[in-house]
Amino acid sequence: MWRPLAVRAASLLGVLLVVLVLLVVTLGATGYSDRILGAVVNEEMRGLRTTMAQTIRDPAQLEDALATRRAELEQSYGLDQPWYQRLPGMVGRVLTFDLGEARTVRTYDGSNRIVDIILERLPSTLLLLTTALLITAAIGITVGVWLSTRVGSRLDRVVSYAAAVSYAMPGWWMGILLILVFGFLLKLVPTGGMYSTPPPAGALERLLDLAWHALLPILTLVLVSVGPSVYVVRTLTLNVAQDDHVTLARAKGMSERIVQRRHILRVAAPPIVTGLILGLAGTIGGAILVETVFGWQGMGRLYFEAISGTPDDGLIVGLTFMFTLVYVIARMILEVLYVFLDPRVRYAS
Amino acid sequence: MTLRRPSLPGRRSLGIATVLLVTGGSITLAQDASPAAMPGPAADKVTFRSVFVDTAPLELQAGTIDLYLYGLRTEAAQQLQGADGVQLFQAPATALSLVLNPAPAPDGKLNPFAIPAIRTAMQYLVDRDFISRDIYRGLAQPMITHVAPSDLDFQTIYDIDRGSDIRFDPDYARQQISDAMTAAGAELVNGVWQFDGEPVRVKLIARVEDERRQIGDLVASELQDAGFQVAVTYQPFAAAIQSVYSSDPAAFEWNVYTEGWGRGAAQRYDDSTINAMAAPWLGNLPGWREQGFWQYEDPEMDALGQRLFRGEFASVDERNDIYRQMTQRELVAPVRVWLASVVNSFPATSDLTGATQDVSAGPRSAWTLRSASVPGSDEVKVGHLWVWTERTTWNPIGGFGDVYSTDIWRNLFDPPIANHPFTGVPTPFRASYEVTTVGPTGTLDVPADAVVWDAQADAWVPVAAGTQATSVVTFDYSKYLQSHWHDGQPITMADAVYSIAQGFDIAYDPDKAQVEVALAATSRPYLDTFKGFRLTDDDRLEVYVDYWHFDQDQIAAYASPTSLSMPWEILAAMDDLVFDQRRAAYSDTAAARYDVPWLSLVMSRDARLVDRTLRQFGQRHTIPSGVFQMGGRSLVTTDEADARYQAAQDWFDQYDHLVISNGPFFLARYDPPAQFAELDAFRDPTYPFTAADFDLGPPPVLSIDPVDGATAGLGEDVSLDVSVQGPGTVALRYLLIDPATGAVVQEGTAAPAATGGTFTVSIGADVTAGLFPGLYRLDLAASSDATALISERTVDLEVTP
Repeated sequence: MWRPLAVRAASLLGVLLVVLVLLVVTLGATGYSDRILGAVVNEEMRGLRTTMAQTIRDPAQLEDALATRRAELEQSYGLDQPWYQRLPGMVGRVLTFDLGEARTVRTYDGSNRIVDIILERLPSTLLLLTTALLITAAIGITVGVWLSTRVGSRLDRVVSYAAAVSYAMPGWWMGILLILVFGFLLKLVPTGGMYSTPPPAGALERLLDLAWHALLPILTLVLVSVGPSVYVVRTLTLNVAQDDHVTLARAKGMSERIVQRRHILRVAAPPIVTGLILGLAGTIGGAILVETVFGWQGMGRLYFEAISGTPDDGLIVGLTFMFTLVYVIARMILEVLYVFLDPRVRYAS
Repeated sequence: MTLRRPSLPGRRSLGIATVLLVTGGSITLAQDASPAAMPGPAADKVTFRSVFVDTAPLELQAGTIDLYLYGLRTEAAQQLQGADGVQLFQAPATALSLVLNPAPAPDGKLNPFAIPAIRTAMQYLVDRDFISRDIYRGLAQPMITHVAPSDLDFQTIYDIDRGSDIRFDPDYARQQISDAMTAAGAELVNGVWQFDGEPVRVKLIARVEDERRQIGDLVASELQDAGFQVAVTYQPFAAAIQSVYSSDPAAFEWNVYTEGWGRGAAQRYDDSTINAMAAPWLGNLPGWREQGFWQYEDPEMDALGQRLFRGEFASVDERNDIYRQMTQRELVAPVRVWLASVVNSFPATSDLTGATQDVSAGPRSAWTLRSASVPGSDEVKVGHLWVWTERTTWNPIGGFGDVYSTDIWRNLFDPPIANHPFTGVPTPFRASYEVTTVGPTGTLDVPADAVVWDAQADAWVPVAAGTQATSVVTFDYSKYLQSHWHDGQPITMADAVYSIAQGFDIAYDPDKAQVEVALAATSRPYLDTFKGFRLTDDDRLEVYVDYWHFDQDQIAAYASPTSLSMPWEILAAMDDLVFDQRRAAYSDTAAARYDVPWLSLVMSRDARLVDRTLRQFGQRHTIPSGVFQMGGRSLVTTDEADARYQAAQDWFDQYDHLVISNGPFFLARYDPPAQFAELDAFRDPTYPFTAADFDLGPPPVLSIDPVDGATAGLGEDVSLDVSVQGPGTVALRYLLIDPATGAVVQEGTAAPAATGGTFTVSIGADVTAGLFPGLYRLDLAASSDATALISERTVDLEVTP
């Protein structure tokens, strides 16, 4: 069993490499990186012309000064090197877990090391999204399995409709609605931000304050994802519940609880666990819109900062590496779990 | 020729009732005196926190913020108009335009915007009223030149603008387009222009983030009606600037783009905006002065623009004449078609009082929060989109590049000079000045005992014999020098002197210029015009400069050599970090090049580096060499320096940052994760201003009283009395316009009557004799030297047979 797993691990690491190579080629060979960074430099120069024109009155001197600043900016953005010299170095570096420095994005205390930036943002996102996903999964599995034994009932129909509504509801809209109701009308929870104003001073008080502020965004994320979660689990377990081996188990006189746990849930577990693990891995990507609505400085906003405004290709490569690495690790966990969850799964040696 | 302007009235001492307790650098008021009567701002505390723009109205109505400093969306602003408990500060903070690509098309193709007549026709094809009235729901004003009615130079070009007869006239525009397209060899087939058998296609890029999306749709529809096949692309900022400003116009990635421009604080005499918007040489017209790109050229406009830019005029009339010529030229075959000036709305609770606002920037001015307060509360709660962003950098040399930091910082320091919020004229703020000039043609001798900074020798050295300058400005810094920095240390002339030398050192010291390349290169041409400095007494500094302007306040603003915003020891410690230790950088580019932090004094990590340097200075009793030896005097003693180092370290220990300045508030708390900043009142008894000094009241409003229409027979004199309400010296201009042709029949300035505020508009018999019977339009515009805003009114004049 271990050899095939090792082969899979190697192939997933290959995926990691391919993703990074594709990213670099996409950014570099297409000219995207050069063009977007060049555009940013041009835009800054246009603004600078107007600003500097307030004090430099000689047009020739103005042009000289601007040329110097342009050269500086181009060097700063790496535009003085062709992409095939600039970008592959980033890949080589990140593969050795040196994520390098971001060009403009920084941590709260001023560090521009990408690893520091990620480590600062990640806990905020995990608190929000991972908590929301775990709650959603717990509700989804519990209610979904329970509903699969009551298919066609009035409750089943109600939950199915509710699931559709939940699925269709945009997270940012739900967020604003909840802020309006629970924040402004009922005044039960904070309306946004990560801390109270003024923020508490002590570390524990700050942590509790952070959790308090996370309540509404977590509720938002749960409400927009719990419907689909319940429905998916219900459908997966329902399909398994109609298999012959379940009928046989029941015919043998096994209790319904044992049938559900051993013969339905365990068989249906791999796709459910797959969704859960990949979902957990995906949570580190953050949720841009919900984070924006609640003023939450998480990974979603970080990725947005990396690609918008002044794109930071070092940060893009670093984040892509990290996300892909987490995906690869999640896939490996799943490969191992499949074997334990479903006895039918065996890898050819 | 001399002019002296007093600075804001100062308050040098306090009454007996005001007793202050100074504890470890924080200053607490012990008596119950009214804040308005005490030194410093109206409120004891101002807090900033991040508020999402869509929830800002709710936060305001819930009382969690008193003022929102970020412009609301149009719909939200409209909903808040007239709402209970809410007041809206409005400022014309955005201008919108269409930029057209005038590059000639390759053989076999036709670019309609390469044809001047079609560019002119665009002036009549776009419906500016619809944009202002419907898309922006009344929160915008149509504009046809780069000068909006709220701009100070609108008075300069008033008759050109209002008398231009540019209007929404799609039939006329289509006819002009048809004539031009036919002349260019195109033919209209089934309502679509074709050239060489192919439809003429226009690529329109519309920004997607705001109402420019609808404007793009509107313009596309109008172009389609004129017979063009239009491909609209909706793009966000990054993609749009890449397509438009980073591509060769001859590559035709775009034909039309919906531009938006932010406006800064009011400026009385513009010379850069008009160049940027209308003259190709300044690189803001297609081609963008990028090497290898096709360039739009207009040598005549460039020549005019450069005359204005270099100050090659001898009087205000000559300057205005150049400005008017450029504006007139801008209207014909424009490459940039102006659309509207958009009003940004900043909501506040109706309880907020005393908030002085800038006529251009609204509540985002240095005056606003100094005088603002909420009755019954010692705090003003301000919401902003962000308090901290990933790009926030607080250093006065190469930082403060984001508006969120600047909006806080401007409350923490007093600038020597600032543009007046109502008139845009440079005005003494905490320094006063006296200007002597012999320009534009004369020169004056710089005295032999004046000095300049020698960056090689690190010393002030006498000016070279025979040095001459155009103007000399004597700055009186006494309102600084009688007071303290936030950490309790006295402000001295050494602070001004260090900051001047620092600027020269970065520009001219080869080693420093090599580190901060861009800062050096961009400041050198400006500093080259400074010819000498002389300390005349303990408070005054003479600055000799090669600069002339007919408005002496402009000379003073140009010659102001220091912002005096931070004590010298902080600047010196930062210099040491950047240039000697090489552990930080002032600018973003130097930080990237040397892989060191972009120095920010609110970041505890960076501030700690500065703090450590101050500690080393203190241990070694270091004083920067040379800089404080000026005019045969030594400006700093070792004991004074040590006391300053210690005070700054104590400040860092208490507040965890090193933003030490001299304004009415000090930064008591800055918490990036919480997106929170707290500014506490600086109630030092030596602080020279009270809240009343900053409370200028609402912006003065000019108004023209309703005027009944007049009737005149052909060949008869007609006069009309017009009453104008408003402050200052008021003037009234008029234009008599034939609405049938749009032609200006007569224009002039109304004669003031004996009673104040009343004017008489006189149309002579010789003028009415040349008119046809019918209704004519009389446009009136009142202006005042007390405000930048004009007031307009239109009156009918009926000419009878």
